[in-house]
Amino acid sequence: MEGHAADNRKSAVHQGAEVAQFSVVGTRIRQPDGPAKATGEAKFAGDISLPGMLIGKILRSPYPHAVIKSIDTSKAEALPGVMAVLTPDNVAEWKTFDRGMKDMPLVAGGYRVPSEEAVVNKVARHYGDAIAAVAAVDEHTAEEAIELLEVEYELLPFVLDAEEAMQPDAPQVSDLAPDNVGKHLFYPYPEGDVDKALAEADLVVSGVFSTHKQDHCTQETAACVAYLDASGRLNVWSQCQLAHLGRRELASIFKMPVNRIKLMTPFVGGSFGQRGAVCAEPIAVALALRSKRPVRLVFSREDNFLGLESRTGFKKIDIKMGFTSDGTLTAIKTQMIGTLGGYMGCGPMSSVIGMTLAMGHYRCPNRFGEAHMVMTNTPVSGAMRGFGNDAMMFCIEQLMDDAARRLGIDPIDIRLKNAKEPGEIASMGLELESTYMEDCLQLGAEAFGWHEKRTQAKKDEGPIKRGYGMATMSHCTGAAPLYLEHSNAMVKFNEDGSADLTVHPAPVGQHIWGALSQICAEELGIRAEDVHIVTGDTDVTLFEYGSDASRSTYAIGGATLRAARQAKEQMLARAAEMLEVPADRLEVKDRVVVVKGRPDKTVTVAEVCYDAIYAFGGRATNFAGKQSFESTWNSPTYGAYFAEVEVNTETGRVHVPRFVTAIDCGKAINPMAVEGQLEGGLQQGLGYALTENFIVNPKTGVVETDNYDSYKVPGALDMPDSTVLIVDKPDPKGPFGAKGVGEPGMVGIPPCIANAVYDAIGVRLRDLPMTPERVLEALTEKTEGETETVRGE
Amino acid sequence: MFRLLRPFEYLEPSCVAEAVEMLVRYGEKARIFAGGTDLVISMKKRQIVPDYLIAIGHLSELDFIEAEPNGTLRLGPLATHARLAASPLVWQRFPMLATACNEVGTPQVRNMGTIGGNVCKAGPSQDTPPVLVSLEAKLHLVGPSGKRTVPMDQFCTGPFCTVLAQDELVVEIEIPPLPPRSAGCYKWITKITATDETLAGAGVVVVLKEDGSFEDVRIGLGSVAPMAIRARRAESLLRGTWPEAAQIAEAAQIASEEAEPRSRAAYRRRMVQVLVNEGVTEMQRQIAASMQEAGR
Repeated sequence: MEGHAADNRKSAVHQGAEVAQFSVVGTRIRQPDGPAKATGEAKFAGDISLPGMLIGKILRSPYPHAVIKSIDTSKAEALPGVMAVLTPDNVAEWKTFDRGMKDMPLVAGGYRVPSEEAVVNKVARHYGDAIAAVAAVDEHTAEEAIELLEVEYELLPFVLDAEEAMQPDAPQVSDLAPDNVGKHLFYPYPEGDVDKALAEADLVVSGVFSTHKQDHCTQETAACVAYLDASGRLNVWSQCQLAHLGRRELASIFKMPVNRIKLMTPFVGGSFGQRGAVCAEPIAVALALRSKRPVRLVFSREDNFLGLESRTGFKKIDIKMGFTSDGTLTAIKTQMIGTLGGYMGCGPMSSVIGMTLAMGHYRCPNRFGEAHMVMTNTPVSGAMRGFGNDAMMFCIEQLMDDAARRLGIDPIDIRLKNAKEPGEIASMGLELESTYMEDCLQLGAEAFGWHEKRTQAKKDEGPIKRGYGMATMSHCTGAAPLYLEHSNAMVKFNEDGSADLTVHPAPVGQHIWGALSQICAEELGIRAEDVHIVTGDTDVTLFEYGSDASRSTYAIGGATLRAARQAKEQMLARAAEMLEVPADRLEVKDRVVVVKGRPDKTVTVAEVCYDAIYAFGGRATNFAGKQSFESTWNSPTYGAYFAEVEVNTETGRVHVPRFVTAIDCGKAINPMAVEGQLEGGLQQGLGYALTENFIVNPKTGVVETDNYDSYKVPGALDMPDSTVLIVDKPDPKGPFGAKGVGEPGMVGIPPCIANAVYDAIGVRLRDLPMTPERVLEALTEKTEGETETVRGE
Repeated sequence: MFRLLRPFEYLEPSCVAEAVEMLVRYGEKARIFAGGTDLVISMKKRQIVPDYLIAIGHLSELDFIEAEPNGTLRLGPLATHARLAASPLVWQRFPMLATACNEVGTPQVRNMGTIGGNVCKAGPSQDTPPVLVSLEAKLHLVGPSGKRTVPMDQFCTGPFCTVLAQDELVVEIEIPPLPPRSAGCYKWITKITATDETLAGAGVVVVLKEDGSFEDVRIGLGSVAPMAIRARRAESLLRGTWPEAAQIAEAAQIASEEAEPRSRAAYRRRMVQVLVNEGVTEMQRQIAASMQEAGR
């Protein structure tokens, strides 16, 4: 059960953590959905086919800012097989929608983002904005109909750059933000007097950074199937990560009671935050309502790049950090300018979440942060794996490195010096329950050979310069208290001792069914394969906030654990009657109820369950637990990252041959799934750091990277030799000690690589992505005599 | 943007002569379809919307890799990149061509895509043309009025444009043997990821005299001009000399000036310099080393 960790460390003693003996939790089970996916049997939204089903297509604006004066639909409507055409004028009866969807009671005085976005839009606010849609009998006809739409545009002046958009004479993007500042937000946990602390600091390190708009590049594009059945209920196959919030949003747009909508979640081919909003749903539903036929709408890859939210890029992150001469962090001051795009979705919160997590990562008595989130005529910004923590950590972990170097302290030691301990206040204002960052650093450094590599002389490799870097991070598990963290689960025993677990996570490829079945089975005393997951239908599942913020195992697992406990207590009460002992003398393991201390006195779970269901004389009952769970705390996950890089000083290319990730995600419910998350996170982090770049033509506003021939995601050949280490020590709050691991995989990657690049060539790369051109430019600046001084200092 | 394929008729001629007949009959409305790895993308992007596809993938008369005793290599246009990269005939005689074939796309593309298609596409960023240009390859074409031969460096006339007439077909790529004391290599860099398109590529052939001077040097550049080009000014700076590092670097600098890149222009030029410098230096060393070994 101990994984890679030695348990005799100070932090562990301090925690008083006991390592329980589990029989299901901690094992590398095969995923329940594996066979369906391996055989192709698994149904994704695009696989759903219904009798009479139509195919939907979207017309997108070729201009970054334009009024749709008119759309002549006559030719399209005359085309045989065209069953519905949506234009801005004929969808006006439906309400605009809120891409963000989330309720955030504690931020900015209650936070639902207003939006002007309609099903299709009268004013195109970015290149690729949806302005019309059709449904037709087949894809060819639908595509032809789109080509037959005749649109009259009135072109408006546009602004693409966040800083330019803040100028007084800039074109106005939205009626909701006359000065283009969609949201002016502040770090929600300010403390002390940051200016005074910076003035008094022995050392101030600072820098101006920028990050880019990474696309989620989900394997499956957005897709939705919708139809209105004979009874007037709306049936929707939706990829939404937050199914019940998605249902609420559709109910609001189409003005229906929520229980007139049956929202079904099929398998989803990746999400990474992108399906945290409604995506293909509003147009698919509108087409189904108009045509009175089932409609399938599958986004093209271009639709995905242009029409969905991707990571919020920051034009500017200006950070100052103060230290005493012994390396104690005394102040952090942050000013951010973020790019929102044409509508407000989850973008604004990227700043708040990013500042909250990154500025609360280390102990620091003086903190202040402010963000201007600015609207621009570019595709919409939103949440992606890390949700701003990635951007903030990119800055803070580079500045920590600068501070360490200037003070002559090992980068690991300066981080340990400022690391929070259990009992201190964590990033989101709650008491820190567990942190094993020290274990992460120790394990990671050992596996990487950090101390040897840092001290040995570097070989001459010609134009190739080798460097070693490290970074740490922490990330929330669920976002309490900033977000609602409400989950529900139902567990029922069947007569053969198997159990059905009813929950509604989003199966986006993170292997959540397996983890929940393990938690359920562990508590019930049966095997993981005995648990069947009932899911994916809002008619059946209780309210579920959904899968985001690295919360599914923690929060849905928390509800699962409670519901399983309730069902188990009922089962043990009946077993106690059968065995004629008090229930507290019983324990259950591997499908058998045993009297403690009397291994000969047993009854199987199956016998107890059968006895309860097929009972006579008024004794019949079906053991079942139903529990709500609202986690009002969150247990941050900690990680340490180590990278070796080769920088080619002739070509500017950065190659990463070796990477080590050490993670404190509490108890790993399934270590194999944790490793998968971290390796996938590494790949996505490499792309964010080095290869991916969302490029908007500065003259035309056209998105130049709308497919994989121009937007470059690293592949298997770009992956380093990767080692993942799991500390595997339980958190006191999480189910069986688990914490979240979805986002942490990628948050620490870019700063780790940037620090290694600095070690290799002695220049700081403060703009993402670290392209070959930027590397060469930085090297040129360095040789031109700027020594190691960095921009912004 | 990728769209659905428009309907088309799929024709299967039984021989080259019939394929040519079909080309004559359908003219601009027809396209030759071999591996399809590039054509189908162009069709999905609606850059090409043919009514007829003349499939030649099954014509064994176009599918060969043969070497003559004098060292000439004859390639059928249907030879796939994967087979060329793996062929000992190619490896032993022209390793630079094997390298370039192995650099095309991904394994799937190399298994389907043909060298004939790579050449006829005439895109600026194909991998085999800079190598074939530096090897002074010849293309044999067949049309209704018979055969003709075109040197590789006269085949392309601009981006995606060639001298190939609408009713002509490439039936063979002939690569003449290299003289003694020669060596060639293909140097390239991708745009950013490992399997990405080529950002800049250089085919370099060096021939030394017995005295160690450069009898000949040929530099083919790909992805940095409207088509694969020879860096002739750089070549002539080196030809007949005993170049040292500084002179090779100067030639590489000149080669980069001969390039005419469009996007990422400054970076591409800089990469031409790096690749040419590396290629010429390595080949010079390699031939000198084998001469030394032979002399021992």
